This record gives sequence, C-alpha cells and structure tokens, in this order.
Amino acid sequence: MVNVTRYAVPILKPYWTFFAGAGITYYLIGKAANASMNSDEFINDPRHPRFNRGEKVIDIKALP
Amino acid sequence: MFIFSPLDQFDMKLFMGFASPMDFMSNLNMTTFTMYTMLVYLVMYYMFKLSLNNKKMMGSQWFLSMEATFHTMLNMVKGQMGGTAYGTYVPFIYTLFIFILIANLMGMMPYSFALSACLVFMMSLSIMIWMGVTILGLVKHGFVFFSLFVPGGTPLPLVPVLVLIELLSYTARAVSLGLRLSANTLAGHLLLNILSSLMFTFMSISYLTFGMGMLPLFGVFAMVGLEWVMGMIQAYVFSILTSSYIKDAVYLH
Repeated sequence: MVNVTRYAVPILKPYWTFFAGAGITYYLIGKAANASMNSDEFINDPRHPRFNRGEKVIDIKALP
Repeated sequence: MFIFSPLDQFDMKLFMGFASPMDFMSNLNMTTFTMYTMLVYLVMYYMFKLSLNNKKMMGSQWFLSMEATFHTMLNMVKGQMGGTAYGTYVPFIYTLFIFILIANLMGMMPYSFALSACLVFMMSLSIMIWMGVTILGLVKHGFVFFSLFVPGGTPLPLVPVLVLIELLSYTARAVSLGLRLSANTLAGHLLLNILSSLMFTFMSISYLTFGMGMLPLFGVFAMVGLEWVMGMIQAYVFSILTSSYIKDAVYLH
C-alpha cells in the first residue's frame, strides 16, 4: 500500500496566482486548439472527434 | 523505398481514446505525452521516496544527493531573489527544475519521447508562469506594479518610448521562456537523429566507409554528450529565469 503523509505546507495561499494563470492558460490554449481543429486544414482529418459522433466529411470547396 | 522523417520521433501516438458525444471528453485521450508525463511523475516520486532509506535516522548516499539538488536550488533562488520572501517560492522552482531535468534526461534515452520538445506544453507552462507572476505583482503592488516598466534614472522625455519597449520585452517573456527550452530540445534531438541516420547509412555502405566513419562517429558521440549537458542546463536556465521573474514581481526594482 502507498503510505502518503499530508504535511502542512501552504500550497494555495502563496501559489493561487499560478493556479489562476493555469486556468486562464488552459482556457486560451483550449480555444486555440479548437480553432485549429475546426479550421479548413484539419476539419476532415480522420482523427477529428466529430467523426465519433457520426458526422460526415464536409466538402470545403462547396462552402460559400 | 520508405522515407522516414526525422520528425517522426516527436509524433504523438494514441494508446487509448475516449469517444463521447461531448466534445471535451475527447481531450482525455491517453497518448505518448500522457504516458511519459506519468513516467516522469513516477520517477520523481520514487526518486525521493526510495532515497529516504526507510526513514532511518542516518541518511543514505542517495538521500545526500537529493538533498544536494535541493540545496543547489535553495541557494540559487536565495541568490536571485534574496530578501525575506524567497523561501515561499523555493518548492515551486525546485519542482519545475526537477520535472524538466527528469523529462530531458528521460528524453535522451534511445527511442524515447522528449517531453520538452512539445512546443505547446512548454509554451503553456511558460504562459502559466508569466500570468501567475503578473497577477502576483498586481495583487501585491496594485498599479505601482507598472513602475517595473520604467527603469531607474530614465530621463522624462524617454519614458514613453522606454515604457513601450519594456512592455514588449515583458510580454515576450511569456513566449521566450518556453520557446527557449522546447526549441533547444527539438533542434538537438532532430540534429542527433539526422546525424546518426547519416552515419548509419554511410558506415553500412562498405568496409572502407565503415573505417572512414569512425572519426565522424566520435563527433556524433560528442553531440550526444552536448545534448545531455544542454538538457540539464536548459532545466537550470528555466528555473533561474522563473525565479528572476518572480523577484521582479515581488520586489519590483
């Protein structure tokens, strides 16, 4: 069994700004990744998660 | 004829995928990145746990080496930051150093995956640190934090130009911290892959080229040694710059 002892080291009080920064970074990088994933270059990539939902290939040339 | 790109070593392979009707669940895929991060975490955990020598009173040699790495970081942060507030940030800087060091050293194993070469990961880490440091400075000093962009002794007419330049330099820190590490690792591993495949092709032609290739092979070994050193130096540079940025935010000038 793993024996892990919890010590009273302050984590949230001195480092809450870095947690906030991590949250903001996660949000921004997620937005950038989704935008890149849904761009014309990668919308029809077979690894795109939309194909797991049963969506079909989009004809980019036919789009207005 | 199959042409293998030197960039194939940085490919993310999917081991276990989570398919769901919701978009965000697909981000929980188990890839090479996940696996190597968990390996680095396991190495970190057991490196410290097993060095405790079953919590005996007398520390082992291993425990001494772990303590030496901690004291190196403690003295580095003390030298960089100084003052009274440096102790709060030593665990963070030390964790960053050990994580990047172990990730780089694991990446040097043959056929392994270099975590530091993942540009998105390293840039996200540096952007997180930069944002954390900026919020820390703003919370601690309020609007006085912006005095960081006015170097001491600047003539008044030069202040607007200098503030813009300092602002640009400050914003560039977010990108440069992560980009430096990942670009160095990426370029180093790419170079090693190209050189070694070149040497392999050259030396496998005939006995003559095999003999001729011995001297350049030592050059390739020297490059490998350099990459080992660069991995360790980059981890140190990342930590020392992070502590410098925290010092700027906590103490301003």
